[in-house]
Amino acid sequence: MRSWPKLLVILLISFVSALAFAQESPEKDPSETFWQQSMQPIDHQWRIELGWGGYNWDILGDGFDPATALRVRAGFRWAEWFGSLVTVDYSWISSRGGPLLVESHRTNLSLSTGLERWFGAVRVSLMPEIGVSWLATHLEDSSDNQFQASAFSASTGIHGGIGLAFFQSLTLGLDAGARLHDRRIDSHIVLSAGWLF
Amino acid sequence: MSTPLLHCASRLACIGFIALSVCAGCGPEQVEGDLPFVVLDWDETTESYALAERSIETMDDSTIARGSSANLRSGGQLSAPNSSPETEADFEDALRISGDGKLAVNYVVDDGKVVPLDFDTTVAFSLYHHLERARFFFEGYDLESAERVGSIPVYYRPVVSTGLFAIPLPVFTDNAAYAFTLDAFIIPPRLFFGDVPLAANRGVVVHEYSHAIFNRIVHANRRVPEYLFRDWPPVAANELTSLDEGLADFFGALQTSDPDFIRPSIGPSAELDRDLEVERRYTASMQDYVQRTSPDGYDPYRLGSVVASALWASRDLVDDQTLANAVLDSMRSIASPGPDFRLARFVDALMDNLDEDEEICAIWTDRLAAPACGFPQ
Repeated sequence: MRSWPKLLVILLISFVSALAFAQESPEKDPSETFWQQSMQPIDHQWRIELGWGGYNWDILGDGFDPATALRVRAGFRWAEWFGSLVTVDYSWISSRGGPLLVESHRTNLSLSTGLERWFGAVRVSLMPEIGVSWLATHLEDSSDNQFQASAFSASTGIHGGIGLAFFQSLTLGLDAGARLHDRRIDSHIVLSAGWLF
Repeated sequence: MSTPLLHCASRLACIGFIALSVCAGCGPEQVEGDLPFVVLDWDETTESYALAERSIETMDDSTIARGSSANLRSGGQLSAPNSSPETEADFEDALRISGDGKLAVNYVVDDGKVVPLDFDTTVAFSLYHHLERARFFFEGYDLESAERVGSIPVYYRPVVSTGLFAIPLPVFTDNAAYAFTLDAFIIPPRLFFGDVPLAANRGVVVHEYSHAIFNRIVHANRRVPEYLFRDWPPVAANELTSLDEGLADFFGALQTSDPDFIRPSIGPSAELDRDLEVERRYTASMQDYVQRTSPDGYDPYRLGSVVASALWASRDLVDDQTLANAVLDSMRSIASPGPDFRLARFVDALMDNLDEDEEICAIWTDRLAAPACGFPQ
Protein backbone atom coordinates (compact mmCIF):
# COMPACT_ATOMS: atom_id res chain seq x y z
CA MET A 1 0.00 0.00 0.00
CA ARG A 2 2.88 2.34 0.71
CA SER A 3 3.83 2.30 -3.02
CA TRP A 4 0.48 3.88 -4.06
CA PRO A 5 1.50 7.51 -3.46
CA LYS A 6 4.66 6.99 -5.50
CA LEU A 7 2.68 5.41 -8.30
CA LEU A 8 0.22 8.30 -8.26
CA VAL A 9 3.04 10.80 -8.51
CA ILE A 10 4.59 8.92 -11.43
CA LEU A 11 1.23 8.77 -13.19
CA LEU A 12 0.65 12.48 -12.62
CA ILE A 13 4.09 13.39 -13.98
CA SER A 14 3.56 11.13 -16.98
CA PHE A 15 0.21 12.77 -17.69
CA VAL A 16 1.60 16.30 -17.46
CA SER A 17 4.59 15.30 -19.59
CA ALA A 18 2.31 13.76 -22.14
CA LEU A 19 0.39 17.01 -22.37
CA ALA A 20 3.55 19.04 -22.63
CA PHE A 21 5.01 16.78 -25.29
CA ALA A 22 1.78 16.39 -27.18
CA GLN A 23 2.13 17.03 -30.89
CA GLU A 24 -0.60 18.42 -33.07
CA SER A 25 0.20 15.78 -35.62
CA PRO A 26 -0.42 12.33 -34.30
CA GLU A 27 2.01 10.93 -36.80
CA LYS A 28 5.40 10.43 -35.22
CA ASP A 29 8.47 9.14 -36.87
CA PRO A 30 9.78 6.47 -34.54
CA SER A 31 13.30 7.01 -35.87
CA GLU A 32 13.42 10.61 -34.52
CA THR A 33 15.83 11.12 -31.65
CA PHE A 34 14.92 12.94 -28.46
CA TRP A 35 16.71 16.10 -29.69
CA GLN A 36 14.96 15.96 -33.06
CA GLN A 37 11.64 15.69 -31.27
CA SER A 38 12.37 18.41 -28.75
CA MET A 39 13.92 20.97 -31.12
CA GLN A 40 11.40 21.08 -33.88
CA PRO A 41 10.71 24.11 -36.00
CA ILE A 42 8.61 26.55 -34.04
CA ASP A 43 5.46 28.23 -35.12
CA HIS A 44 4.78 31.11 -32.80
CA GLN A 45 4.28 34.86 -32.84
CA TRP A 46 4.87 35.86 -29.24
CA ARG A 47 7.89 35.46 -26.99
CA ILE A 48 8.30 36.38 -23.31
CA GLU A 49 11.67 36.08 -21.61
CA LEU A 50 13.37 36.64 -18.29
CA GLY A 51 17.09 37.23 -18.40
CA TRP A 52 20.20 37.58 -16.29
CA GLY A 53 23.65 38.62 -17.32
CA GLY A 54 26.48 41.07 -17.31
CA TYR A 55 26.14 44.81 -17.79
CA ASN A 56 29.20 46.95 -18.32
CA TRP A 57 28.74 50.54 -17.23
CA ASP A 58 30.70 52.94 -19.37
CA ILE A 59 32.54 55.14 -16.91
CA LEU A 60 34.60 58.28 -17.42
CA GLY A 61 37.94 57.82 -19.08
CA ASP A 62 36.94 55.15 -21.58
CA GLY A 63 36.66 52.55 -18.84
CA PHE A 64 34.05 49.97 -18.00
CA ASP A 65 32.70 48.81 -14.69
CA PRO A 66 31.06 45.38 -14.75
CA ALA A 67 27.76 44.80 -12.99
CA THR A 68 24.73 42.55 -13.16
CA ALA A 69 21.74 42.99 -15.44
CA LEU A 70 18.21 41.69 -15.03
CA ARG A 71 15.86 41.63 -18.00
CA VAL A 72 12.20 41.22 -18.89
CA ARG A 73 11.47 41.05 -22.58
CA ALA A 74 8.43 40.54 -24.78
CA GLY A 75 8.64 39.95 -28.50
CA PHE A 76 6.30 39.70 -31.44
CA ARG A 77 7.11 38.21 -34.83
CA TRP A 78 5.53 40.18 -37.62
CA ALA A 79 6.84 38.13 -40.50
CA GLU A 80 9.30 35.39 -41.26
CA TRP A 81 12.29 37.77 -41.12
CA PHE A 82 10.91 40.54 -38.99
CA GLY A 83 10.14 41.01 -35.32
CA SER A 84 9.85 43.57 -32.55
CA LEU A 85 10.83 43.52 -28.90
CA VAL A 86 9.97 45.50 -25.80
CA THR A 87 12.71 45.16 -23.21
CA VAL A 88 13.15 46.34 -19.65
CA ASP A 89 16.70 46.09 -18.35
CA TYR A 90 17.74 46.85 -14.81
CA SER A 91 21.29 47.14 -13.54
CA TRP A 92 22.90 48.60 -10.45
CA ILE A 93 26.41 49.51 -9.45
CA SER A 94 28.11 50.50 -6.23
CA SER A 95 31.46 52.30 -5.98
CA ARG A 96 33.32 53.20 -2.84
CA GLY A 97 36.31 55.45 -2.24
CA GLY A 98 37.16 55.89 1.41
CA PRO A 99 34.16 57.55 3.08
CA LEU A 100 32.38 58.03 -0.25
CA LEU A 101 29.77 55.55 -1.41
CA VAL A 102 27.95 56.04 -4.71
CA GLU A 103 25.15 53.66 -5.72
CA SER A 104 23.51 53.96 -9.11
CA HIS A 105 20.48 52.13 -10.45
CA ARG A 106 19.63 52.20 -14.11
CA THR A 107 16.34 51.03 -15.62
CA ASN A 108 16.02 51.06 -19.36
CA LEU A 109 12.85 50.59 -21.38
CA SER A 110 13.57 50.01 -25.04
CA LEU A 111 11.71 49.16 -28.22
CA SER A 112 13.56 47.35 -30.94
CA THR A 113 12.50 46.25 -34.39
CA GLY A 114 14.48 44.41 -36.97
CA LEU A 115 15.75 41.08 -38.13
CA GLU A 116 14.41 38.04 -36.32
CA ARG A 117 14.60 34.76 -38.13
CA TRP A 118 14.04 31.23 -36.93
CA PHE A 119 15.92 28.50 -38.73
CA GLY A 120 14.07 25.52 -37.41
CA ALA A 121 14.56 25.71 -33.68
CA VAL A 122 17.39 28.24 -33.90
CA ARG A 123 16.79 31.97 -33.64
CA VAL A 124 19.04 34.68 -35.02
CA SER A 125 18.25 38.32 -34.39
CA LEU A 126 19.82 41.70 -34.96
CA MET A 127 17.92 44.87 -34.13
CA PRO A 128 18.42 48.56 -33.47
CA GLU A 129 16.66 49.91 -30.42
CA ILE A 130 15.39 53.16 -28.97
CA GLY A 131 14.22 53.80 -25.48
CA VAL A 132 14.31 55.79 -22.31
CA SER A 133 16.64 55.30 -19.41
CA TRP A 134 16.10 56.22 -15.79
CA LEU A 135 19.17 56.62 -13.64
CA ALA A 136 18.81 57.02 -9.88
CA THR A 137 21.89 57.70 -7.80
CA HIS A 138 22.46 57.81 -4.08
CA LEU A 139 25.60 59.39 -2.63
CA GLU A 140 26.59 59.12 0.99
CA ASP A 141 29.65 59.44 3.17
CA SER A 142 30.72 58.11 6.53
CA SER A 143 29.55 61.33 8.19
CA ASP A 144 26.01 60.43 7.15
CA ASN A 145 25.70 63.18 4.52
CA GLN A 146 23.35 61.91 1.83
CA PHE A 147 22.31 63.12 -1.59
CA GLN A 148 19.87 61.56 -4.05
CA ALA A 149 19.22 62.42 -7.64
CA SER A 150 17.67 60.83 -10.68
CA ALA A 151 17.30 61.65 -14.34
CA PHE A 152 15.60 60.38 -17.46
CA SER A 153 17.50 60.23 -20.71
CA ALA A 154 16.93 58.92 -24.20
CA SER A 155 18.80 55.83 -25.26
CA THR A 156 19.59 54.10 -28.49
CA GLY A 157 21.53 51.01 -29.32
CA ILE A 158 21.88 47.80 -31.18
CA HIS A 159 21.66 44.21 -30.04
CA GLY A 160 21.86 40.80 -31.52
CA GLY A 161 21.69 37.26 -30.36
CA ILE A 162 20.90 33.66 -30.87
CA GLY A 163 18.32 31.40 -29.30
CA LEU A 164 17.09 27.86 -29.19
CA ALA A 165 13.55 26.59 -28.93
CA PHE A 166 12.73 23.48 -26.97
CA PHE A 167 9.52 21.52 -27.14
CA GLN A 168 8.13 24.27 -29.40
CA SER A 169 7.25 26.44 -26.43
CA LEU A 170 10.39 27.02 -24.37
CA THR A 171 13.35 29.09 -25.43
CA LEU A 172 16.86 29.88 -24.24
CA GLY A 173 18.68 32.87 -25.66
CA LEU A 174 21.98 34.68 -25.49
CA ASP A 175 21.88 38.31 -26.53
CA ALA A 176 24.52 41.01 -26.51
CA GLY A 177 24.36 44.65 -27.35
CA ALA A 178 25.55 48.18 -26.87
CA ARG A 179 23.46 51.09 -25.69
CA LEU A 180 24.16 54.82 -25.91
CA HIS A 181 22.73 57.18 -23.33
CA ASP A 182 24.05 60.26 -21.52
CA ARG A 183 27.04 60.26 -23.92
CA ARG A 184 28.07 56.86 -22.55
CA ILE A 185 28.01 53.52 -24.36
CA ASP A 186 27.14 50.65 -22.05
CA SER A 187 27.39 47.05 -23.21
CA HIS A 188 25.55 43.99 -22.05
CA ILE A 189 25.33 40.26 -22.55
CA VAL A 190 22.28 38.50 -21.18
CA LEU A 191 21.24 34.88 -20.93
CA SER A 192 17.50 34.50 -21.02
CA ALA A 193 14.80 31.86 -20.75
CA GLY A 194 11.26 32.22 -21.92
CA TRP A 195 8.09 31.00 -23.44
CA LEU A 196 6.91 30.93 -27.04
CA PHE A 197 3.23 31.11 -27.88
CA MET B 1 -3.29 47.77 -41.96
CA SER B 2 -3.58 49.84 -45.14
CA THR B 3 -0.42 50.67 -47.08
CA PRO B 4 -0.55 54.50 -46.60
CA LEU B 5 -1.09 54.04 -42.89
CA LEU B 6 1.81 51.59 -42.74
CA HIS B 7 4.06 54.05 -44.57
CA CYS B 8 3.06 56.82 -42.22
CA ALA B 9 3.73 54.65 -39.19
CA SER B 10 7.11 53.55 -40.50
CA ARG B 11 8.09 57.18 -41.22
CA LEU B 12 7.06 58.21 -37.74
CA ALA B 13 9.07 55.33 -36.33
CA CYS B 14 12.12 56.41 -38.33
CA ILE B 15 11.80 60.02 -37.21
CA GLY B 16 11.36 58.89 -33.61
CA PHE B 17 14.40 56.64 -33.86
CA ILE B 18 16.57 59.42 -35.26
CA ALA B 19 15.31 61.94 -32.69
CA LEU B 20 15.90 59.62 -29.76
CA SER B 21 19.29 58.63 -31.15
CA VAL B 22 20.31 62.27 -31.28
CA CYS B 23 18.98 62.81 -27.75
CA ALA B 24 20.86 59.77 -26.50
CA GLY B 25 24.10 61.45 -27.48
CA CYS B 26 23.23 64.52 -25.45
CA GLY B 27 24.52 65.17 -21.99
CA PRO B 28 23.13 67.14 -19.10
CA GLU B 29 22.33 70.81 -19.51
CA GLN B 30 24.89 73.48 -18.76
CA VAL B 31 24.70 74.68 -15.16
CA GLU B 32 23.54 78.29 -15.09
CA GLY B 33 24.19 80.66 -12.22
CA ASP B 34 26.19 80.10 -9.07
CA LEU B 35 24.75 76.78 -8.01
CA PRO B 36 26.83 74.74 -5.57
CA PHE B 37 28.27 71.40 -6.64
CA VAL B 38 28.23 68.29 -4.47
CA VAL B 39 31.89 67.31 -4.09
CA LEU B 40 34.09 65.29 -1.76
CA ASP B 41 36.10 67.77 0.27
CA TRP B 42 38.28 67.99 3.34
CA ASP B 43 36.36 69.06 6.41
CA GLU B 44 38.80 70.78 8.75
CA THR B 45 36.43 70.58 11.72
CA THR B 46 35.97 66.82 11.58
CA GLU B 47 39.39 66.25 9.95
CA SER B 48 37.91 63.89 7.43
CA TYR B 49 36.66 63.85 3.85
CA ALA B 50 32.93 64.34 3.46
CA LEU B 51 30.37 65.24 0.82
CA ALA B 52 29.75 68.95 0.79
CA GLU B 53 28.10 71.62 -1.33
CA ARG B 54 30.85 73.84 -2.73
CA SER B 55 30.82 76.70 -5.19
CA ILE B 56 32.88 76.30 -8.36
CA GLU B 57 33.45 79.72 -9.86
CA THR B 58 35.62 79.14 -12.91
CA MET B 59 33.96 76.24 -14.73
CA ASP B 60 32.84 77.65 -18.07
CA ASP B 61 31.35 74.41 -19.41
CA SER B 62 29.98 72.13 -16.72
CA THR B 63 28.96 69.47 -19.26
CA ILE B 64 32.63 68.63 -19.89
CA ALA B 65 34.18 70.03 -16.68
CA ARG B 66 36.22 72.66 -18.46
CA GLY B 67 37.07 76.11 -17.25
CA SER B 68 39.80 78.62 -16.63
CA SER B 69 41.25 76.52 -13.79
CA ALA B 70 41.49 73.21 -15.64
CA ASN B 71 40.47 71.39 -18.77
CA LEU B 72 39.51 67.87 -17.77
CA ARG B 73 40.05 65.35 -20.54
CA SER B 74 38.76 61.82 -20.77
CA GLY B 75 40.95 58.78 -21.16
CA GLY B 76 43.55 58.73 -23.88
CA GLN B 77 46.58 56.53 -24.23
CA LEU B 78 49.90 57.42 -22.68
CA SER B 79 52.94 56.26 -24.54
CA ALA B 80 56.68 56.73 -24.19
CA PRO B 81 58.08 56.56 -27.72
CA ASN B 82 61.66 57.04 -26.51
CA SER B 83 62.55 54.81 -23.58
CA SER B 84 66.00 56.33 -23.04
CA PRO B 85 65.85 60.06 -23.79
CA GLU B 86 69.11 62.00 -23.65
CA THR B 87 68.70 65.38 -25.28
CA GLU B 88 66.23 68.13 -24.42
CA ALA B 89 64.29 67.32 -27.60
CA ASP B 90 64.18 63.64 -26.59
CA PHE B 91 62.75 64.54 -23.19
CA GLU B 92 60.20 66.92 -24.69
CA ASP B 93 58.87 63.99 -26.68
CA ALA B 94 59.37 61.40 -23.96
CA LEU B 95 55.69 61.21 -23.09
CA ARG B 96 52.79 61.41 -25.47
CA ILE B 97 49.07 61.20 -25.00
CA SER B 98 46.60 60.51 -27.77
CA GLY B 99 42.98 59.60 -28.22
CA ASP B 100 41.71 61.67 -25.33
CA GLY B 101 38.30 63.27 -25.51
CA LYS B 102 35.89 65.50 -23.72
CA LEU B 103 34.95 64.35 -20.24
CA ALA B 104 31.30 63.28 -20.44
CA VAL B 105 30.29 64.02 -16.86
CA ASN B 106 26.77 63.13 -15.81
CA TYR B 107 24.83 65.14 -13.27
CA VAL B 108 21.49 66.70 -12.55
CA VAL B 109 20.48 70.00 -10.99
CA ASP B 110 18.32 69.07 -8.06
CA ASP B 111 16.93 71.37 -5.41
CA GLY B 112 19.32 74.18 -6.26
CA LYS B 113 22.52 72.14 -6.35
CA VAL B 114 24.47 70.12 -8.88
CA VAL B 115 24.39 66.45 -7.91
CA PRO B 116 26.70 63.98 -9.70
CA LEU B 117 25.00 60.88 -11.07
CA ASP B 118 27.98 58.55 -10.81
CA PHE B 119 31.17 57.95 -8.88
CA ASP B 120 33.54 59.30 -11.51
CA THR B 121 31.59 62.51 -11.98
CA THR B 122 31.77 63.01 -8.20
CA VAL B 123 35.54 62.59 -8.35
CA ALA B 124 35.84 64.78 -11.47
CA PHE B 125 33.88 67.65 -9.91
CA SER B 126 35.88 67.26 -6.68
CA LEU B 127 39.09 67.36 -8.72
CA TYR B 128 38.05 70.52 -10.54
CA HIS B 129 37.00 72.12 -7.26
CA HIS B 130 40.35 71.31 -5.65
CA LEU B 131 42.29 72.59 -8.68
CA GLU B 132 40.32 75.81 -8.48
CA ARG B 133 41.08 76.11 -4.77
CA ALA B 134 44.76 75.44 -5.50
CA ARG B 135 44.71 78.18 -8.09
CA PHE B 136 43.04 80.67 -5.73
CA PHE B 137 45.49 79.64 -3.00
CA PHE B 138 48.60 80.35 -5.09
CA GLU B 139 47.22 83.39 -6.86
CA GLY B 140 46.49 84.83 -3.45
CA TYR B 141 50.26 85.30 -3.15
CA ASP B 142 50.57 87.79 -5.99
CA LEU B 143 51.97 85.50 -8.64
CA GLU B 144 53.13 87.24 -11.77
CA SER B 145 51.26 86.31 -14.94
CA ALA B 146 54.10 84.08 -16.19
CA GLU B 147 54.03 82.20 -12.89
CA ARG B 148 50.33 81.37 -13.08
CA VAL B 149 49.30 77.91 -14.18
CA GLY B 150 46.13 78.76 -16.09
CA SER B 151 43.83 76.16 -17.58
CA ILE B 152 46.02 73.16 -18.27
CA PRO B 153 44.82 69.71 -19.36
CA VAL B 154 43.97 67.09 -16.77
CA TYR B 155 43.90 63.60 -18.27
CA TYR B 156 41.40 61.51 -16.33
CA ARG B 157 42.03 57.75 -16.38
CA PRO B 158 44.43 57.42 -19.31
CA VAL B 159 45.88 54.01 -20.01
CA VAL B 160 49.44 53.17 -20.92
CA SER B 161 50.16 51.71 -24.33
CA THR B 162 52.69 49.00 -23.84
CA GLY B 163 53.72 45.58 -24.99
CA LEU B 164 54.23 44.06 -28.40
CA PHE B 165 51.14 45.50 -30.06
CA ALA B 166 50.93 48.68 -27.97
CA ILE B 167 47.90 47.26 -26.21
CA PRO B 168 46.45 49.82 -23.80
CA LEU B 169 46.82 48.47 -20.28
CA PRO B 170 46.20 50.03 -16.89
CA VAL B 171 49.82 49.54 -15.73
CA PHE B 172 50.05 53.10 -14.39
CA THR B 173 47.44 53.23 -11.66
CA ASP B 174 46.53 54.77 -8.30
CA ASN B 175 48.42 58.01 -8.67
CA ALA B 176 48.08 61.68 -9.44
CA ALA B 177 50.92 63.42 -11.19
CA TYR B 178 52.06 66.61 -12.84
CA ALA B 179 53.83 65.72 -16.09
CA PHE B 180 56.09 68.67 -16.82
CA THR B 181 56.86 67.64 -20.40
CA LEU B 182 53.14 67.67 -21.18
CA ASP B 183 52.43 70.51 -18.76
CA ALA B 184 49.41 68.51 -17.68
CA PHE B 185 48.03 66.63 -14.73
CA ILE B 186 47.54 62.90 -15.10
CA ILE B 187 44.99 60.97 -13.06
CA PRO B 188 45.46 57.27 -13.88
CA PRO B 189 42.81 54.64 -13.09
CA ARG B 190 42.27 53.70 -9.45
CA LEU B 191 42.65 49.96 -9.01
CA PHE B 192 44.19 49.14 -5.64
CA PHE B 193 43.66 52.09 -3.29
CA GLY B 194 40.26 51.81 -1.63
CA ASP B 195 40.43 55.05 0.31
CA VAL B 196 39.80 58.64 -0.76
CA PRO B 197 40.67 58.81 -4.47
CA LEU B 198 43.89 60.79 -4.94
CA ALA B 199 42.10 63.04 -7.42
CA ALA B 200 39.56 63.93 -4.74
CA ASN B 201 42.22 64.54 -2.07
CA ARG B 202 42.59 68.32 -1.90
CA GLY B 203 46.05 68.16 -0.35
CA VAL B 204 47.29 65.86 -3.11
CA VAL B 205 45.82 68.14 -5.80
CA VAL B 206 47.49 71.21 -4.26
CA HIS B 207 50.73 69.19 -4.07
CA GLU B 208 50.57 68.48 -7.81
CA TYR B 209 49.59 72.06 -8.56
CA SER B 210 52.67 73.17 -6.64
CA HIS B 211 54.84 71.21 -9.09
CA ALA B 212 53.34 73.24 -11.93
CA ILE B 213 54.10 76.45 -10.01
CA PHE B 214 57.65 75.21 -9.31
CA ASN B 215 58.10 74.48 -13.00
CA ARG B 216 57.08 78.00 -13.91
CA ILE B 217 59.06 79.86 -11.25
CA VAL B 218 62.20 77.75 -10.82
CA HIS B 219 62.53 76.22 -14.28
CA ALA B 220 61.30 79.36 -16.05
CA ASN B 221 58.38 77.44 -17.54
CA ARG B 222 60.70 75.15 -19.51
CA ARG B 223 59.08 71.83 -20.29
CA VAL B 224 62.28 69.96 -19.52
CA PRO B 225 64.40 70.86 -16.46
CA GLU B 226 68.07 71.23 -17.27
CA TYR B 227 69.30 68.55 -14.88
CA LEU B 228 67.62 65.89 -17.02
CA PHE B 229 69.72 66.43 -20.14
CA ARG B 230 72.85 68.20 -18.83
CA ASP B 231 75.63 66.55 -16.90
CA TRP B 232 74.80 67.65 -13.36
CA PRO B 233 76.36 66.09 -10.27
CA PRO B 234 73.80 63.83 -8.55
CA VAL B 235 73.68 65.99 -5.43
CA ALA B 236 72.51 69.04 -7.42
CA ALA B 237 69.77 67.20 -9.30
CA ASN B 238 68.69 65.21 -6.26
CA GLU B 239 68.49 68.16 -3.88
CA LEU B 240 66.52 70.12 -6.50
CA THR B 241 63.94 67.37 -7.01
CA SER B 242 63.66 66.89 -3.25
CA LEU B 243 63.11 70.62 -2.81
CA ASP B 244 60.32 70.41 -5.41
CA GLU B 245 58.66 67.55 -3.52
CA GLY B 246 59.17 69.16 -0.12
CA LEU B 247 57.63 72.46 -1.15
CA ALA B 248 54.72 70.61 -2.78
CA ASP B 249 54.08 68.72 0.48
CA PHE B 250 54.31 71.96 2.44
CA PHE B 251 51.81 73.77 0.22
CA GLY B 252 49.46 70.77 0.25
CA ALA B 253 49.52 70.73 4.03
CA LEU B 254 49.26 74.51 4.32
CA GLN B 255 46.21 74.75 2.06
CA THR B 256 44.35 71.99 3.88
CA SER B 257 45.76 72.65 7.37
CA ASP B 258 46.48 68.94 7.45
CA PRO B 259 50.14 67.97 7.89
CA ASP B 260 49.42 64.37 6.90
CA PHE B 261 47.12 65.17 3.97
CA ILE B 262 48.02 62.06 1.98
CA ARG B 263 46.93 59.68 4.78
CA PRO B 264 43.16 59.68 3.91
CA SER B 265 44.10 58.27 0.50
CA ILE B 266 46.52 55.56 1.57
CA GLY B 267 44.95 54.33 4.78
CA PRO B 268 46.15 54.42 8.37
CA SER B 269 48.35 51.33 8.06
CA ALA B 270 50.29 52.29 4.92
CA GLU B 271 54.06 52.49 5.33
CA LEU B 272 54.37 55.72 3.37
CA ASP B 273 55.36 58.35 5.93
CA ARG B 274 55.13 61.96 4.82
CA ASP B 275 53.61 63.46 7.97
CA LEU B 276 54.93 67.01 8.29
CA GLU B 277 54.46 66.96 12.06
CA VAL B 278 57.27 64.42 12.37
CA GLU B 279 60.65 65.95 13.12
CA ARG B 280 63.03 64.94 10.34
CA ARG B 281 66.71 65.65 9.79
CA TYR B 282 69.09 65.66 6.87
CA THR B 283 71.31 63.06 8.48
CA ALA B 284 74.80 62.08 7.39
CA SER B 285 73.50 58.82 5.92
CA MET B 286 70.85 60.70 3.97
CA GLN B 287 73.47 63.16 2.71
CA ASP B 288 75.53 60.22 1.57
CA TYR B 289 72.47 58.77 -0.19
CA VAL B 290 71.73 62.10 -1.91
CA GLN B 291 75.31 62.56 -3.06
CA ARG B 292 75.88 59.05 -4.35
CA THR B 293 72.57 58.02 -5.84
CA SER B 294 71.96 58.46 -9.54
CA PRO B 295 68.99 60.77 -10.21
CA ASP B 296 67.33 57.92 -12.15
CA GLY B 297 66.95 55.80 -9.03
CA TYR B 298 66.70 58.55 -6.46
CA ASP B 299 63.78 58.80 -4.01
CA PRO B 300 63.18 62.55 -3.67
CA TYR B 301 60.62 62.19 -0.89
CA ARG B 302 63.07 61.36 1.91
CA LEU B 303 64.90 64.68 1.80
CA GLY B 304 61.74 66.38 0.59
CA SER B 305 60.01 65.40 3.81
CA VAL B 306 62.84 67.01 5.78
CA VAL B 307 62.30 70.29 3.94
CA ALA B 308 58.53 70.08 4.35
CA SER B 309 58.69 69.29 8.06
CA ALA B 310 61.15 72.15 8.68
CA LEU B 311 58.80 74.54 6.91
CA TRP B 312 55.86 73.19 8.88
CA ALA B 313 57.75 73.67 12.15
CA SER B 314 58.54 77.25 11.11
CA ARG B 315 54.81 78.03 11.20
CA ASP B 316 55.06 78.19 14.98
CA LEU B 317 57.19 81.31 14.59
CA VAL B 318 55.77 83.08 11.57
CA ASP B 319 52.29 83.42 10.10
CA ASP B 320 51.28 81.32 7.11
CA GLN B 321 50.99 84.25 4.72
CA THR B 322 54.49 85.54 5.47
CA LEU B 323 55.98 82.06 5.31
CA ALA B 324 54.32 81.16 2.00
CA ASN B 325 55.38 84.48 0.47
CA ALA B 326 58.93 83.89 1.69
CA VAL B 327 58.93 80.40 0.12
CA LEU B 328 57.72 81.74 -3.23
CA ASP B 329 60.28 84.57 -3.14
CA SER B 330 62.99 82.02 -2.35
CA MET B 331 61.87 79.94 -5.34
CA ARG B 332 62.34 83.06 -7.47
CA SER B 333 65.82 83.51 -5.93
CA ILE B 334 66.96 80.12 -7.18
CA ALA B 335 65.34 80.41 -10.63
CA SER B 336 67.11 78.70 -13.53
CA PRO B 337 69.47 76.68 -11.34
CA GLY B 338 72.67 75.20 -12.72
CA PRO B 339 74.86 72.22 -11.81
CA ASP B 340 76.20 74.09 -8.78
CA PHE B 341 72.74 74.14 -7.18
CA ARG B 342 72.55 73.11 -3.55
CA LEU B 343 69.61 73.01 -1.18
CA ALA B 344 71.48 75.40 1.09
CA ARG B 345 71.02 78.10 -1.52
CA PHE B 346 67.27 77.89 -1.15
CA VAL B 347 67.51 77.82 2.63
CA ASP B 348 69.77 80.85 2.57
CA ALA B 349 67.27 82.75 0.42
CA LEU B 350 64.42 81.68 2.70
CA MET B 351 66.20 82.93 5.78
CA ASP B 352 66.90 86.23 4.04
CA ASN B 353 63.23 86.53 3.16
CA LEU B 354 62.30 85.81 6.77
CA ASP B 355 64.71 88.50 8.01
CA GLU B 356 66.99 85.84 9.48
CA ASP B 357 64.70 85.19 12.42
CA GLU B 358 66.99 83.50 14.93
CA GLU B 359 64.50 80.88 16.08
CA ILE B 360 63.65 79.88 12.52
CA CYS B 361 67.36 79.75 11.71
CA ALA B 362 67.81 77.44 14.66
CA ILE B 363 65.15 75.07 13.33
CA TRP B 364 66.75 74.87 9.90
CA THR B 365 70.26 74.60 11.29
CA ASP B 366 69.13 71.70 13.43
CA ARG B 367 67.06 69.92 10.76
CA LEU B 368 69.51 70.32 7.89
CA ALA B 369 72.65 69.80 10.00
CA ALA B 370 74.14 72.92 8.42
CA PRO B 371 74.35 76.59 9.41
CA ALA B 372 71.31 78.24 7.92
CA CYS B 373 71.90 81.88 8.75
CA GLY B 374 74.78 84.26 8.69
CA PHE B 375 77.18 81.98 6.86
CA PRO B 376 77.98 82.26 3.20
CA GLN B 377 77.36 79.06 1.25
